[in-house]
Amino acid sequence: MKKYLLLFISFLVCIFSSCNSGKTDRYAMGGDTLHFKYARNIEAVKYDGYSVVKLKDPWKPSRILHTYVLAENKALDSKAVNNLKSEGASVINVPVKRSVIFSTVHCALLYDLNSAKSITGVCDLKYINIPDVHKRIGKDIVDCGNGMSADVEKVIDSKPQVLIISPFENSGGYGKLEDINIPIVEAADYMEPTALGRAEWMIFYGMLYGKEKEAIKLFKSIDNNYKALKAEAIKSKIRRSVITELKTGSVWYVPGGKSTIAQMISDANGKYVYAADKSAGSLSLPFERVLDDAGKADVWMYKYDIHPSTLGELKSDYNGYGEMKAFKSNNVYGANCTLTRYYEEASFHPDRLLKDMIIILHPDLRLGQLRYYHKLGN
Amino acid sequence: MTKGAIYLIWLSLGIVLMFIANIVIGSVKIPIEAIVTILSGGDCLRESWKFIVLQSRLPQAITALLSGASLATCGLMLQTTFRNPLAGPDVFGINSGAGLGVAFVMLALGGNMAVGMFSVSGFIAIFLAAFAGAMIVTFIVFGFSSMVRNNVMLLIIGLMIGYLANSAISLLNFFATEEGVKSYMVWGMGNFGGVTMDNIPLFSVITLVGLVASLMMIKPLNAMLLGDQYAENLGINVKQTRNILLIITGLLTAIVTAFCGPIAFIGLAVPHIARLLLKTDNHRMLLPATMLCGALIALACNVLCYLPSNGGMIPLNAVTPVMGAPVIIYVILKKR
Repeated sequence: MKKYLLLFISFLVCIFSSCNSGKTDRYAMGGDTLHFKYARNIEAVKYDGYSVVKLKDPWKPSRILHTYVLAENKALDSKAVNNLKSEGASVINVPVKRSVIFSTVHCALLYDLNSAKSITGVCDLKYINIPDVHKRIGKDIVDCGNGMSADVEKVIDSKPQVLIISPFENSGGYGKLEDINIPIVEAADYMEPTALGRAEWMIFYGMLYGKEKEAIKLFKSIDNNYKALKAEAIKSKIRRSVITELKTGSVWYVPGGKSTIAQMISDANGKYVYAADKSAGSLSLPFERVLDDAGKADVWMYKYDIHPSTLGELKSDYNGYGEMKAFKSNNVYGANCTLTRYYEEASFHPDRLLKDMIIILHPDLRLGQLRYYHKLGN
Repeated sequence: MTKGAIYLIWLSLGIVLMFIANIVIGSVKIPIEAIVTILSGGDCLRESWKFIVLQSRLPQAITALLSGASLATCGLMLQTTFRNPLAGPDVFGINSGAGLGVAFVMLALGGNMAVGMFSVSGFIAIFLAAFAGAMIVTFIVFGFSSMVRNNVMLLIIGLMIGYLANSAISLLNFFATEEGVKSYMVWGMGNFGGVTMDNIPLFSVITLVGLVASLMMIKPLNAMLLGDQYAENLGINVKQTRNILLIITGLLTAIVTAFCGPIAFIGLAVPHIARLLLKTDNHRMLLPATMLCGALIALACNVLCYLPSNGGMIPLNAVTPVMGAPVIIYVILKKR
């Protein structure tokens, strides 16, 4: 009996060792896998002189959206990198010194990482709420026009090493931008199911711009901050229900129960009206539905561009708003996105948005001043 | 009693039923007893229900009724005047004019208008812009109408004005924010819920004046059926009639589009449905029947918008073509 067992074990060892040798053959020197704590759609393995980053397709979980090889000068022409290139990976020479950025979110992150110099072109300039970028236009930043159909000539003119673009589902690709042989970094960070998961992508962007250590440090502080705030929120005795956003025409688009906003409200120890909903996107509801479900919500928070910034404006937009309990009890909060840096910061600094939520939901904790939101006056 | 009169009675009955359905059916389930209590002035358990019935569903049903009647009437009058079965309120670019006004306010000005001391935002700004855009296009077409005698040529000019407005709309959309484009798109899908109870008196007075005015045009409309020359022989001033019709349709389309957004197909299709029902071209019967049919179909479309059982809604312009397009195809096949 013992003999058989020994034989069986040696057989197993054989199988496993052969598996292993196959793997090491493919990737010459075994790499270090970077551990992402929250991000679900990103995998990174570091080798000597280069890293391989795989982005998972957030819309088709079994598929890889894009594979990147971030290679330092010394590894740029190595056999391993060339092999990966022939397998379809995009090779990017790091640290990136010149890049075209398609969204204000990533511009702001590069400022946070002290890599602002690497921005050499931007799209949708008028939605970039960063004064320094506007100052640098015409000097060392090129305005490449509308993000949905960028001016290819100007993109080429700004001589970027990479383009950072947020992909859309089934958008049909990036058109001509795919033909100019500049790697496109598909910034699908906004599809992460959690706020911290999205923020964690900053480590990947840090790797691109040679600021990995800074990015890890920044993320660690954001992570700690977020957790500390969450722990603080639980101490409050007040628990209030929340409804968010406004009507667009006849439809009130509310974040689904599995969206990052819903999750942050719960982290802020608040009760989101649509928390039981199962969708990660948004629900399109008629006003009467929202009034019935959320008419008794204690607090109402929304983002806006210029209007409506007062209770009076809100009511003159649609008098039904006046029926909401939050309106009657004067608990409506608005975030003016043109005056505050909501869009620039909230994605990569979810702790700041969480803090605003906790201040609004738990006045008893006295956490200080609101950053984005303000209480609506008459 | 004539066959036509019987049809009118049936249509009126249908409207009453559909109106009740509009009050009862919505995305929130409210028991019939509660609705009866609310309508008879009593208080019910949930305060939100009172608002939903009196301030949301009731004005919406009134708006659907009047808008449907107005658009269908406009369509019939234009089809007769221009002797073109495919004419409708949208062919003269009136809708596009309203659309351009709204696009300008929503996309270029960020949703608020300031004229000197007078500053408006939100719904009022959008309403004023749509109304101004629609009336401007009406007057442009009106101006051309006194220069161009030929009806087909005038139709083509109307279409061209529509294209010009649409080119400006594309430009505004291209440079607009994501939210701006989305709100413009939602506006463009039509909605009878835009008229609040406070606006109902204004809306009803203007549409009723337009509808009564069009009822007074029955005689000249019948004469126009015979052709311009015969009509002139009967003592009808064709050019003047055409101008009056343009003003009535312009006003009705402008007010409906300003409040509800561009509503597709009702104006084009309902006159054909009325003709199929009555089998007559005599406007004495056809015009009232078209009005009632328009009101009935608009109310039915509005109910269909709220039928998805998950508590959501679907846009109005996703429903109206389903009613309208098959009728147009039928008319074309019949005329083959």
